[in-house]
Amino acid sequence: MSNFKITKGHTLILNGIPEKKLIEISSSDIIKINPHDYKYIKPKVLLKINDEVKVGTPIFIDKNDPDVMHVSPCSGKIESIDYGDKRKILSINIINDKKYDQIELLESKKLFSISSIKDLGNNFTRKIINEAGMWPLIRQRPFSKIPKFNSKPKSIFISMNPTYPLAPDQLFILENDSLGFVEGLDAISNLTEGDINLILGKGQDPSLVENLDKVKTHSFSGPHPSGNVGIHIHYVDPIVSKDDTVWYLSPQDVCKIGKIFIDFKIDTTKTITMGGPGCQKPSYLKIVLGTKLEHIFNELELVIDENKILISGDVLSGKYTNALESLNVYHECLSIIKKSESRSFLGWMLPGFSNFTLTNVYISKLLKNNTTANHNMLNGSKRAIVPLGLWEKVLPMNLLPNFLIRSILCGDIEDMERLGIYECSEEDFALCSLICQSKIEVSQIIQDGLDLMYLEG
Amino acid sequence: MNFIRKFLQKIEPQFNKGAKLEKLYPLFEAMDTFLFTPNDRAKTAPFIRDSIDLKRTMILVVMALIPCLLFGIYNVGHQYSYYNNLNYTFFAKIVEGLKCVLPIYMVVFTVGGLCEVLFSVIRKHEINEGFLVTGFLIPLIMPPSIPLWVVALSTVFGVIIGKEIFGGTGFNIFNPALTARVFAFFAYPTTMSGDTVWVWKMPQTDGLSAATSLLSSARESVNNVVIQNNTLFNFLNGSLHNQVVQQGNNIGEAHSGIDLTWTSLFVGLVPGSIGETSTIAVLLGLGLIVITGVASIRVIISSFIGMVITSFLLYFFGSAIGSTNPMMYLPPHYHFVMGSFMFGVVFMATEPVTSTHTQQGKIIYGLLVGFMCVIIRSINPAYPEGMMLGILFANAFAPLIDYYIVEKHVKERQQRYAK
Repeated sequence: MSNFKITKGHTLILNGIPEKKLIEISSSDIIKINPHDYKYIKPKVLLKINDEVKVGTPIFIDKNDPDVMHVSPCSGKIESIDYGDKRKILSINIINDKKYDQIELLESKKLFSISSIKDLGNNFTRKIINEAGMWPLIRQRPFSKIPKFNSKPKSIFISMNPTYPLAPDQLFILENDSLGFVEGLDAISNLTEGDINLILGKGQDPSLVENLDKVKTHSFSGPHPSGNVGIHIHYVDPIVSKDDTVWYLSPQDVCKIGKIFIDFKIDTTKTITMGGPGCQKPSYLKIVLGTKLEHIFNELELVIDENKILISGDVLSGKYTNALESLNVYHECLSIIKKSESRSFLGWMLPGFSNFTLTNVYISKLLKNNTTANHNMLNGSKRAIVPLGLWEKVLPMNLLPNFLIRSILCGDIEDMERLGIYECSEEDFALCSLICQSKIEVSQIIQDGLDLMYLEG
Repeated sequence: MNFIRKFLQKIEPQFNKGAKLEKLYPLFEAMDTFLFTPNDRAKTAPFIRDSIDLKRTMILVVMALIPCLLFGIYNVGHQYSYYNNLNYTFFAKIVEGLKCVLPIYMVVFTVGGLCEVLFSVIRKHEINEGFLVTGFLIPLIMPPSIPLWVVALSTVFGVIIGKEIFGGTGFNIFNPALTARVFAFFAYPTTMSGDTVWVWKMPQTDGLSAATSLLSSARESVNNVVIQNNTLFNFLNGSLHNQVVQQGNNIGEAHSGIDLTWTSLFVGLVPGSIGETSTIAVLLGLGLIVITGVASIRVIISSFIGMVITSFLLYFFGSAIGSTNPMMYLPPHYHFVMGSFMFGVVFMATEPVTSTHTQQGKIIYGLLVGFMCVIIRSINPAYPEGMMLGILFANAFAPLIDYYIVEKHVKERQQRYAK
């Protein structure tokens, strides 16, 4: 086990930290699937309105990689398909009959015993995972997208210590349901010739995965983003080029993969956290994938008025959403923050006794009164880049963010490559945008750079 | 403050797109965000943003400059009263100082502000707060007796050539305030150099001189001077330098009549540009901008080290060739308090845009500032104040330094991954 101590960064603390109590949310009537939760996808819907589906029925595929199946998380029938501009598929709505009938998994019928999962071989393992619709749970770096079905990573990362605000305690989730974790690790170890890197946080016990060959544990401690998988990859097995891929997935998704190998059951639930300064009942929720947020709020009797802002994911790297949407498939957190209307008079000249800041420019830092942030005000106007060195202070990676950002802004692909764009992911740069005095959208620019690299390649 | 808020909300529609005063929107925006924190919201993640903004960082620099400004006002009055034999009281000196400094400020902010507004209206961008600092700095680095029209011209030059033609704050390659000063220095040298411009309303009596500390210790190499006891110890305690100056004074070739003790230079009650004479005042400001993280401590420390190393080098070089140039023998702690070394290092060299953008580069950049400053001061007697040119020189080299640091970074990455 190797230890890494991260010193740069900041762990953002929000009010409304979820209580460690798991609430099961009942099945909702409508399940909403958003194909564009998956990056760089060109969805092609395989079914028509009113077609019957079961759990595991393929609903759409990606035209770029038609082998990968995207399956239904419930049984019932297709209610509608929403299209946007240029007939872009926005969402697929399924009427949930709440029976959760499952399709038969053909590949899994070939018998094998749990103890021999390790010996299934790459091809067979991939087919089983894909047939159950679990392939999209795996993502690759660079680009944070679903890996090609016929590709192989140099290693796989599983991070147990997310440090983003309101992050779920992965051990708590595993305590509630750890069925399939070990089997899942065995299965995905067939997918790579490299290591399975299990990243533990400070004080987490590695005994969970003892006696598993191919699984290496690493411990990362320190402030956010020390729990981001991008940071782990950067230190443990850095990405050199576009084709040098590393895969990663979340611990609860490892369990889901393991469950197919135990009893051929497709698990379509997910444990998430809900919290934030605008949330009255911060807690852990177990939901079915694609559950609309309004269903959750109705069930918990939460009042979501116009003064609250819903964010799918965490406040650092999530997306605005609304009650009619479902949570992004990869997000394990639902943040609710407040809207603020107050504009303080001459705020930039006053001492600032209670201003939220990571820097030393307001007195609040001295009074240790600088940690409360609960609204989405920009707190300044957009300006040109003035390199005060603040980005470097919160980015624990061996990169030159200032030069990288400039090379992206002028679209210099060669320089972006040289400065390490492939190692970047927008979530790792979230603190840079948070702390920037010129209000530069650093993470958005990184995302634009990655999009450009993806398109060019 | 509600009524102001309501008033602004009421007049806002007239500045919006398509309305009558659309072109003046930058003016409205500047006023609106000057009075109230902006109303913008985060459009993409992260949805929580720090309270720091550019206005705040700029106002902190201005706050750090206040000790220099206050001391400068007093010192202008003090020098005026001293050279005119007036024995003014403390308050009278301040009033006299204000009479000199306030008009300069008014000219700088009117002229510079107009340039800024003009550019933001034409270019349709928001008015940048960068001029707040530039405008505050320009008067502090001008001699008290400077004619106001020279101030106006050099402000225009500094703002337009130094900043706006490159695209405004954040894009400039030279420090705009220094660009303004260098313009005045080369275009109107009589108003910027010599031994009579450093005191406000200097009496025009023959032979009366109020040279800056640097000028009185520099001057051309003194002939017929014998260099004795050029030991390191004598160099360090300043007696070697004094010896050369003294001999020069005796022959009548160097300036005299100014208190050159270290303490008086440190306190700063000596003739010089308005805000730069007092090292104490600069150190007060340094504390504020270093603690708040607005200025890079790396640049400050490495400039200091560069200055110390270079002054030692010059001593060894000078004593080896038997130079009669007194500046060769000026010990580092005198370089530290003389002229605008500290003022330049703290408020000009640390400017984030024109200094290097890499953290390692800042060290090389600082060393270069210290080195160039002492070299220009000592070797070239025509420009006794080397700080201005030293910083501009380092500004010009900053991109080159960055280039090599970035190349080194890329090479290191490649080596790390080759393993």
